[in-house]
Amino acid sequence: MPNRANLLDAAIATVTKSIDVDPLNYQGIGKLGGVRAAPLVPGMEVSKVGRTTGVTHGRISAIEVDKVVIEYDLGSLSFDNQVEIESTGTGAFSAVGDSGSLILDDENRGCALLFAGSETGGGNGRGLTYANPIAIILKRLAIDLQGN
Amino acid sequence: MDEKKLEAARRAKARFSTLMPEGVDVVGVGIGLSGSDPALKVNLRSAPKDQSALPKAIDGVPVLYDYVGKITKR
Repeated sequence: MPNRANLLDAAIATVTKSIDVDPLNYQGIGKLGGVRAAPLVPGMEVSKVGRTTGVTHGRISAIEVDKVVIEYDLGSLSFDNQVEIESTGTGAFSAVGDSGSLILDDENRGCALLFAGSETGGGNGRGLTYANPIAIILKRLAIDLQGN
Repeated sequence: MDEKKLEAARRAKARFSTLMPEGVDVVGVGIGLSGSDPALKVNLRSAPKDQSALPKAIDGVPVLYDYVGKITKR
């Protein structure tokens, strides 16, 4: 939208019945602990399970990030109030195909939804990951996370 | 996190755009961490020619720079 910052990039989908998935159990991490209600803080440890990179661990490197310029097929779009995450491992926290991963805090509570990233930057130089805060996702899509 | 220091970082973030030299390609401005205190985190697409022109602090709030390249959908 011209002259207005974007706040989220998210959608809802249903999982085909033939796919064996337990959305409440994050393999390699544990059971989903509902939604994090407390504000996110820089330095907080997080993790996720993604289609491409699987289980990865990281920390929030910045909150309330504005003017995040993201290259889409239709051109550059700017996002405000985003969450930035850096990897605490040797690899990247995320890669292409990981969009839609729920990012969990240290008590496995959903706190953000992954949607973008860079190839460089961050503590280990392997790039930064960007995510929408979970509160605006739940509000705008009128959904909830089980366990909340 | 110290709420007063967090508010100071928010004020520094609001002032940031008025203090940046021209021609610097900013692709994100947020609140990060310097030690255990909030800091301004500024992401640039690439390192500017004259890095000495970049503010190192705004009203006492440290400014951290990261060179992140292109950010794309995942």
